[in-house]
Amino acid sequence: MLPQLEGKIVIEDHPARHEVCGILVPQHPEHRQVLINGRRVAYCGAKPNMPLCFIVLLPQDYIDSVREQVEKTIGPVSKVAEVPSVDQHGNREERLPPGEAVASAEDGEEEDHAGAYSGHV
Amino acid sequence: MVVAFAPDTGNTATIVFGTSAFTAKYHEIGASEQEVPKIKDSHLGTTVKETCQPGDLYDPGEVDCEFQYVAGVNPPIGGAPETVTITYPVPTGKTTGATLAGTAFIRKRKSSSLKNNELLIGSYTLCWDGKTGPTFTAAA
Repeated sequence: MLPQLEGKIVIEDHPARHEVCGILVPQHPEHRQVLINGRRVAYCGAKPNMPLCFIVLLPQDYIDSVREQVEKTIGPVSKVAEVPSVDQHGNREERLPPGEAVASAEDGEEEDHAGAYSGHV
Repeated sequence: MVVAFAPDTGNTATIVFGTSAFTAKYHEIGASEQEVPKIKDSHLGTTVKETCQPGDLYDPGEVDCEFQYVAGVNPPIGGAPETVTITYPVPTGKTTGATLAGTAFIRKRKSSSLKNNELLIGSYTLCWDGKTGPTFTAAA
């Protein structure tokens, strides 16, 4: 982790609340939010093997530090979804942990058809 | 002294899918509209105008989104509902933006039209399932 982020990455309950018996409780207990210096930067799961989803564009070393903190606190993340910058897409294969399938695995049928339309007419 | 704040725009708003983690370059995250049915309760003795009362249950509504389409990278459809969090821009003087969160699923998705001189724009309709939320949480 970057030294300047030591102790400044905080993992809290997801911000949404709903009322149960007159008390406001977390509406999504299975999710957390990640803050750096009080600023919300990402959402993640409360259990291992859930995705870490960033909502602001951060330098790669910050992303790595947040991921490290989440994995230390909660457990491994299944996927890191970044805010797409000008030259990248958040679902690109290299954003997945090593060994995981191509991003569009849930849409395999589209991938399968891709080759059929590759030629010029 | 009166401090004038610039009106907020949608710039920097995000939408996060808590399980599928679908991301895209969004052009628009649509408005969320809730609607309660109107039950007419006017009767033969009612005069001048129809009267009505609100129904028991309201429709949690849908959100239409548009994004830069990348062929083969589609929003998830047909899966179980997941937690979806729309995060609003951070207002002046605050550190976190408001959120609208609940469980939802993509009811409809559309790939892009293909035209000269135009970006590929895909779209989907997100349907709040009403099981959890959607709930607004104010900026802090």
